[in-house]
Amino acid sequence: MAYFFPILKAPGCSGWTTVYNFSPNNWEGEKPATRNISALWSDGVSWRSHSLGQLEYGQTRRIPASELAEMTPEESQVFLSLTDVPIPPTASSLAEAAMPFTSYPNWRATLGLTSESGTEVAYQGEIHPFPMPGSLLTFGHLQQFAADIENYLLFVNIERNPAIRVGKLEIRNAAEPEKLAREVEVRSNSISFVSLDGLGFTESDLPLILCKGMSAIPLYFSRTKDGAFLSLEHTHPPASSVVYGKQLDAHKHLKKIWFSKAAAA
Amino acid sequence: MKSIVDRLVRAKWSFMQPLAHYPSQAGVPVSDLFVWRKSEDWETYFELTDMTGMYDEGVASENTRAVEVILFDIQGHEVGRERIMSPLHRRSVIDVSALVPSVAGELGTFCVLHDATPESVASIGSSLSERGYISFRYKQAPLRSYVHGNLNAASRLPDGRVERLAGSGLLEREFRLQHELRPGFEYEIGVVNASGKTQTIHCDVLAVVDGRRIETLSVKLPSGGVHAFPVKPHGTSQRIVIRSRLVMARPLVFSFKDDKLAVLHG
Repeated sequence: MAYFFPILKAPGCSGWTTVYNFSPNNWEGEKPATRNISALWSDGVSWRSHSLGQLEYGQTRRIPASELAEMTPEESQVFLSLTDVPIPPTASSLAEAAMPFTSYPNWRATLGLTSESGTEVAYQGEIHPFPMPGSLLTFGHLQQFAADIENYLLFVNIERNPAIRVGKLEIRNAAEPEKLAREVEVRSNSISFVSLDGLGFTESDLPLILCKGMSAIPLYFSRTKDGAFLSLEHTHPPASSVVYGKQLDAHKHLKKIWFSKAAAA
Repeated sequence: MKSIVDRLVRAKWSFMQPLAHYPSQAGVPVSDLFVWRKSEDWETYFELTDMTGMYDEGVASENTRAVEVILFDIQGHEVGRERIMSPLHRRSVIDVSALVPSVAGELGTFCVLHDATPESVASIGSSLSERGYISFRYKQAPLRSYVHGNLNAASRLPDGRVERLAGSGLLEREFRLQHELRPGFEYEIGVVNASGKTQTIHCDVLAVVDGRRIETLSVKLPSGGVHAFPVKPHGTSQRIVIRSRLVMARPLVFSFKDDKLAVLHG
């Protein structure tokens, strides 16, 4: 199973990722090995990679975006991998090299942001390539309201196909889903920033966010304008609140309801 | 042959040891056991979502949109219940720390149980599990720090009793937190015992550079209890390993620097 660790990007911040070459538990078939760290990015035609060296078992490495600046194109979105064998420098599809795998919890990295004033925020994460075309349904619970606060959705996508596709993301009010509050372009194999401010929403409004044609991990990022305070967290698919039974049917049902409401506009 | 041996080895960790047990009665509501903190410096909030409305059901009936918030103290003893109505298709931020009785201390857990299960969810043999979003405000900061729930930790039976669902086994196992604790920051590692039994929890603090054990912090945690292990890395980065019989002792990591808070799930 392939998964990757993005170097995050967000307004006014620089990203960093800390990669760990040790199992997150001692009982899921631990396989100690020196592993290869690679930086991967899409040039729109191929997946390119650059070796960042090896990491011995038990070791940790923090990789800031600045370390990659000279080896990757400025506008590209970099994803890191931790693999048993080196990744080829060019590939027509995202690498399938063997990676360590666990479930309790998933093998993760620390994905962080540092503001211009030195404040840090992070979460534990990884990203698996999304199927194409895919879709996204998320509710914007995590937006914060006060003077001097900016709110963004960071739309994080990676697909096996290196093509940079463009999709449309819609923001609506869940109480009035027929009204389109904002429509913006998002890109595959990228992190797209979407401002959640200036929509006329208040703290009692529930933003409904839809993308037909592309999946993503939705990260909610808030910052004070001076960067002194930051907040970052991802949301789960809304139907992940359904447990036992045929959970996948609940996902389909929920998407059908809310995409239909938006389409009825 | 290797596959059979692998399975047998794995069985000692997995046989009859689920991450979370099914509730003893089908169809009852389920929730994570979220952490609350309350003091002069701490406020805790919960993002309440109208689940039945999300499934376009119960739109005409407010009764289907009620939740019960059940609060526990640091030892897992119940200290309060509050019924709250979630607004249809709107956002509601619940000030959990305001619901906590003043005698309940500064740290505890809570669960959020939805009264009704949408028909479209029940018809596929499923239940609702509240694994939503909590946020902490520290020292009156302008921003709250969010963290999500993730475990089917507790259910409410028809007679109102709370059943704790987290799995535990016979063998002590390690949760090796993949997070670097860095000098200049202070940390609190929050662990909840969502199993039905008292658990002994050890928190090994290791040097990142060579894996050397610096110290071990331990606590005996009753069912439903919560504990915050303080860790202050000096000079070199550290990491932690949590040893317990819980199938997954996934902690909350509170990090502090210059009176600023960041929270994440381990």
